[in-house]
Amino acid sequence: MKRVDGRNLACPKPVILTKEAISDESNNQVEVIVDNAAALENVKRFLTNFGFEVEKVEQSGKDHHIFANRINTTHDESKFDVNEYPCPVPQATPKGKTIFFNNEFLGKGDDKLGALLMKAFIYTLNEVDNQPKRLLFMNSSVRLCIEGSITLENLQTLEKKGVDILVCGTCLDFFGLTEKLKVGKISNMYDIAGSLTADQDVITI
Amino acid sequence: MKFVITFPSSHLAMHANKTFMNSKIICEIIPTPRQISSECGFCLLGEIDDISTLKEFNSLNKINFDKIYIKKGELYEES
Repeated sequence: MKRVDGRNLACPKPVILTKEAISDESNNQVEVIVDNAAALENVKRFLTNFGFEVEKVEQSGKDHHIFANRINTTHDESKFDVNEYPCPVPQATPKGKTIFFNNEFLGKGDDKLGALLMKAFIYTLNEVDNQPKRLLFMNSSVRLCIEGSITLENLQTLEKKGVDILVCGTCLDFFGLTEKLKVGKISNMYDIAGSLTADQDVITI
Repeated sequence: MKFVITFPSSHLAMHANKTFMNSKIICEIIPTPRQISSECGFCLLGEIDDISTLKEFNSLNKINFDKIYIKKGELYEES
């Protein structure tokens, strides 16, 4: 049985993790653990919509364990819309912006200047009053998170302060840098897109 | 002790950064702190035991800089 731990995660993360688990067709039984009513309803509804039958829900303290079995293998994944699984109850989420980095250089015009501007910007993120909540890295910006990067130390400091750092796994693989990642978590389009569409304040650098 | 070196221009800061990268003096390029200047620009932040070593290095390598500051907490004292 595939176990998915959706505790301590803001919407729609529990649904997204569940979707990842069931996308592996070898997982015909899942146990999803959530810790709030909104996630419980969303995960149950998602499983029902995508070929699973919820067998039972067991409560243990504030945690809900959802047990479900695959009953239908023919469902259209393209119909998944993360917005159908909202959080009606406002959740206490960390404050601060989500910053999306799509390039290793900050600005256009000169890459040497852009590299130093990016370094300076990330350095300054440690100094400003309003610390970001999350940093997302895609395409060439994944280079900022690897061994030897001039931005690495400052990113590691941000991570130690509780900033969530997600680094695109596909991009790391494309550039042959997966083994060199030294900060953040290897992530995927679902997590990154989920964050971009769910987080309150997102800026692109 | 931590030090900051300011420069007349960003180009000179970037040029100095390259020189320091090939030396034993560890420093990094950062935005100029607001306590020093309200203008945008780069400066170098580093750490050294004896500030005279830094001044000697700057002189030997003909580094075109503006001022050297000693960083004490959030304060910067001109050296």
